[in-house]
Amino acid sequence: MTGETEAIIVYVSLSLILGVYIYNRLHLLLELRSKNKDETDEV
Amino acid sequence: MRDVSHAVVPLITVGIIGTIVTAILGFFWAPAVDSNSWNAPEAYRIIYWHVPFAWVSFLAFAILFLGSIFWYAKRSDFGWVMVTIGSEMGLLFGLGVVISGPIWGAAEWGVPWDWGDVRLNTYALLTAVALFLVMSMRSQPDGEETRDTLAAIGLFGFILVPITAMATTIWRNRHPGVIIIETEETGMDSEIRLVLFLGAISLMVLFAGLVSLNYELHSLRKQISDKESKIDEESMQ
Repeated sequence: MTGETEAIIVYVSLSLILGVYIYNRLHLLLELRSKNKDETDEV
Repeated sequence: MRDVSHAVVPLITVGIIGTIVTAILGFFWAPAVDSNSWNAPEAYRIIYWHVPFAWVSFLAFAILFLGSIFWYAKRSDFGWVMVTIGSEMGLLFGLGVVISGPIWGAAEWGVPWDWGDVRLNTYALLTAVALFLVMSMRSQPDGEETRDTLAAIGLFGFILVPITAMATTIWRNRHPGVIIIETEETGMDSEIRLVLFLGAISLMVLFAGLVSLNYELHSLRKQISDKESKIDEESMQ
């Protein structure tokens, strides 16, 4: 056992965590920007 | 609040590209370590993300600490925003460390965790503090009392940062010691050092992007809330 599989598991796990977090936050950012624009039009 | 929206996407993009390049170089370019000295020599390649994740998490806990001080000193929204961003970033990068470490430990030591190792346990506690803060912020009503309590936990929780950082020097047990300072024991190949620094810089850029992103989210929420209040006031008149 050289540990190569474990290294791959680490990179895949951390990529998933970072990827999901960044996707979620960017999605929320777009949603809030659009909502803010709508509210500005309303005001 | 300052407008940081223009910096969000470039910082995140550069950070992600650098982080991916680090992983590729770590796997295919960085040299292997001495297979006689390590039980699972290839598993060492996790350090290119594991170590920068840990460094960046300390930056996050520093933001949490400074935010807590600002909150107590000035009762400013900016201080509280720093507390919320610091705890969320501390949890994100702390989880990365707490997940990658035991996978390496299982390969190298044969066990994923050592309950007698100070660094492992203080770091896990630090991440648990961040988890507690994030969950509390999402479940408790926002108000001065909640902010006071959580900022106090952020303030005192920061004590774990220097303890964790110095743990391998003072009580070195299983966790490898400091690897950047050059000594006879920790001599590091220049290619390994280069990839490690690229990983650290890339994750710091990504961290800066995520902090800016969260800052803008807070700013937008505040703007929307102010506008909604204004609309409500106008409709009441």
